[in-house]
Amino acid sequence: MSQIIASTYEILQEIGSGGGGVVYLGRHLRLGKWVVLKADKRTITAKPEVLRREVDALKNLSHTYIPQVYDFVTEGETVYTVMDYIEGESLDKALKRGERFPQAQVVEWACQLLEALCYLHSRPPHGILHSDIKPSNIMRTPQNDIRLIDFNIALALGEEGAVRVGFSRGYASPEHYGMDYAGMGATERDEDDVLTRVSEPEGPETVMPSVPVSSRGSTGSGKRTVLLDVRSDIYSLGATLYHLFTGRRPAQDAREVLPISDQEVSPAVAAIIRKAMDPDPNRRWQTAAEMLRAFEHLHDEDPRMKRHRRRCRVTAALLALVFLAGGFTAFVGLKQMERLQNAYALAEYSANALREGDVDGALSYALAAIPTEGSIFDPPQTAQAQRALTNALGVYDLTDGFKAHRLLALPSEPIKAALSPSGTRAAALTSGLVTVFDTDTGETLAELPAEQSALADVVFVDENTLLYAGEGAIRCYDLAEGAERWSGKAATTITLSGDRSLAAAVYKDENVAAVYDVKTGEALRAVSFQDKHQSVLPNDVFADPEDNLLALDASGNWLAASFSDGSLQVFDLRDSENVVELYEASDYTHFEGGFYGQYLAFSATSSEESVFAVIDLEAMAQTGGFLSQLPFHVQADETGVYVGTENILVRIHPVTGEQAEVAYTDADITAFARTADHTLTATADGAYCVFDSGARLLEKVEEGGPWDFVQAAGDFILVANRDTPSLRILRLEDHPEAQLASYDPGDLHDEARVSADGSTVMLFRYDGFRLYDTAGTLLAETALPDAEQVYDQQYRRDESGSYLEVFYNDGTIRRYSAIDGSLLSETAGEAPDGTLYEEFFTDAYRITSPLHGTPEVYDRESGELVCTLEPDAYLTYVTQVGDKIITEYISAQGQRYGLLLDENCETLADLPELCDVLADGTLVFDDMRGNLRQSRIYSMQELLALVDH
Amino acid sequence: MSGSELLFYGGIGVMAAAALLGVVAVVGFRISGRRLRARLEKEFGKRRH
Repeated sequence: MSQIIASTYEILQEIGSGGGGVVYLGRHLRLGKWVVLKADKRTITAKPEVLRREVDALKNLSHTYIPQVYDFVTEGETVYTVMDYIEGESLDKALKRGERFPQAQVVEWACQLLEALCYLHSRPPHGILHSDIKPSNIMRTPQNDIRLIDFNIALALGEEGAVRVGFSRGYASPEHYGMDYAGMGATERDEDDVLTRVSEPEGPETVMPSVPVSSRGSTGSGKRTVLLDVRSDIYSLGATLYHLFTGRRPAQDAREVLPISDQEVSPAVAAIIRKAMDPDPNRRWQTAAEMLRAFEHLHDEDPRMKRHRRRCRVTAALLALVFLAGGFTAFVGLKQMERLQNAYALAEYSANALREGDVDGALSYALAAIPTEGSIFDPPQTAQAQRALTNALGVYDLTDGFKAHRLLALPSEPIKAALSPSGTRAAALTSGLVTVFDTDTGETLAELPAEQSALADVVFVDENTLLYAGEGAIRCYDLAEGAERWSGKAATTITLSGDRSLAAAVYKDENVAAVYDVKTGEALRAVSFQDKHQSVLPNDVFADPEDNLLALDASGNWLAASFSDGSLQVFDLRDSENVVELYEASDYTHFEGGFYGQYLAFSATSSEESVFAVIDLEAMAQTGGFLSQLPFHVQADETGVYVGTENILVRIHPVTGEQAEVAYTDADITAFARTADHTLTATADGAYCVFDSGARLLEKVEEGGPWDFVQAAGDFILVANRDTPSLRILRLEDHPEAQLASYDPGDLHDEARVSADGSTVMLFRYDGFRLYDTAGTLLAETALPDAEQVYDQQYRRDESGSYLEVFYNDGTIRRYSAIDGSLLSETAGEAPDGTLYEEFFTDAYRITSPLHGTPEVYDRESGELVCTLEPDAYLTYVTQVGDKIITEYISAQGQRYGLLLDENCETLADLPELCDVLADGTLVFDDMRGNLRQSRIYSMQELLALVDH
Repeated sequence: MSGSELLFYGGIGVMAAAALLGVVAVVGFRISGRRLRARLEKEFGKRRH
């Protein structure tokens, strides 16, 4: 068999033959490389140049799945094509053996074939058609890859396609048979006219162009050429794959190809094959690349994969949504908590501001603590904010007295402070500046440059006239006009006569006092102190020890002055020669006092002793006096002489020495001021107290002190200290509109209760009770028998009326009518256990009240502890009014008060002096001074409406 | 616990639950996806791109 071809190749054996020619296994003699030599059948019909051109085209092909063509040689009449030897066998042999291939394997081969076809179809200039794809032209290598072989009838495509030259039945596309199914539906047209030749089953038929042939069942003459294109290769590949998948050779007629069942291949793969074998080339895959993509995307396009991805996406989206929703909710909660904390802080600030007397500030903080924006970030309204607002408005503080009104801010710490005679104006001297305020509105009326000395004085002549130590001169300023009325010589210490018509002024340590007519500013006279001068510190800028006495009497006839040498003199302004020397030089360093009519009352204090004396200037005799080691504080004016020492302040008669107590405090009195009805004291413990004309303590404020300046005039009080740049203004308030009933203020009692019909008020304590009508008329007075044995008392209102129940230690219970005070019944009962333990019930809670211990609130349903109430007070009553709970307490100091709680037992309002809660929810307050006041419970809306007003 | 605290802690809880479910879902879908890919590889061969 060995034959040498072209002196280069040795033919070793025939390894196949077919329509295209005979295939030999050969060997390159020089290279020793195995090759395939294919003797081309067309040598009998085709010119060698044509064959060479075709082989030259094939020689340029280089692809993994296409054997490399190396050479084209002629030996005799035979043309040989030399190409790679592919080990393995063609797929048709495996099919003939009945071998079936796994779908995955066929899909892999399909992709390799399609890659080869993509390569072929993309060869320049217009691509190359294999034109005879079938199992026998596909070699399976030992590596289980494939190679597309036998390019015998491969065609170089023209611009319009290529004319077919042969086909293999079943694998060839309808176009190979001249069938044109293009357009709607597959129709056989002009079969008679097409060039068709039936070949041997295993070999492609070679078509002789221009040779008319008859097709099956065709008649007639005429011929027509159907051009092939890449879609013909796609059909052939589809048919080949069909065979490989099903084991069945496809029918020759594309329309008769049995569909692939789902049992044979996956529906997606079947769809690809079906489309590849569509009789209508327009409905097939239009390119190999398109079909390759379909195979490559089998995974992605698989419904299960799509479903899986959809599930992933939906789950991810849902979880992301839930996560975001959770995040947003947490964010909202966080913002609300932040604002809630802010609200708590603002409520606290409000309470602090109220303690400092800054009502406007307290109101402002309280309002800021109440959410008003309507934003979802706003927390619910807090009980703390409502409590702050309620307290700032003072709606439940119905006792008469001086209430914090304003806090007037100063540019720096005050050196002096003064109130006008009616209290409507306040002035403060700070460093080199006098600031004047309207005490009611807080408006700043004037800011006036003052002498740079702490000795500088500010005094009001009347509500609109201010006399002050201005820069370089005593100045009179008209607040109504906003203009200076007059000015005089330089002055620091200023004093007014009792009738406010004259003013005396001294400049620091000068030895002369100038007396002015307040109205005109005329300097009436100059009072010479001779060689004396008042006490002045070396540095008088920062503090005035207020050791000097400089006082005019009521009509401006006498001027009293103390001096740095400890002397005290009184100058007769009517007679400059008449000077009364009360003290010559002495050890006294501090003087206080003033004139009451013809009497000069003063105190003189040294480090050793203090003396208080009253001098009758007409009789020129001392009418009274005291000597003490403790200092005396003295004020004297047209209302009397007032002397304070230690913790007592008295009004003293200048002649008889008779004393009337004005104030009695817990600590030593350091300063005091008076109005016609009230006395204000500052004490060494840092508190200030207000007493009424009967010396009864009305108020004691312990925060904010010590108070260096206390002033009282009209309905206003001013307190301030040297360390705080503000003036605290208090205003006298009363509440006649809230009056419910009155009683004798001297009637001592522990509790006050109103009868169910509102006709009587019972004041009771352990040893008896008194009944009043609402006008304050005493109706009955009863002393309880065996008062020492009284265990408890309860005032009750029920269907049978109102009555006082008195429990005795032996179990006896006496009931007294709240209408006339009569004894209604007396029954014997079980002796109480003595613990005074009580329980109260609301709709939701059970509230315990031990005598010694903190009241506790329990949920009635679950029995769980909800909260505790006031820790240092004894809970006496609990009343439910709607969804609110009112608790009443007695503090450790014996003070009665109440708290308004919301449904969560959080405090909405303080109820000072609360004594009773009527059935309709009306709150009753007992000021312990003869008045019962009433108030409804305010809602938040009502409180806000009050603010608006 | 106040409403605001309920919102905050509830929201955190929802986030944590969603994150936990997310982890569970990721693990679950990874396992099922791996199984599905194996099944598809068996049917169609290895993924080619």
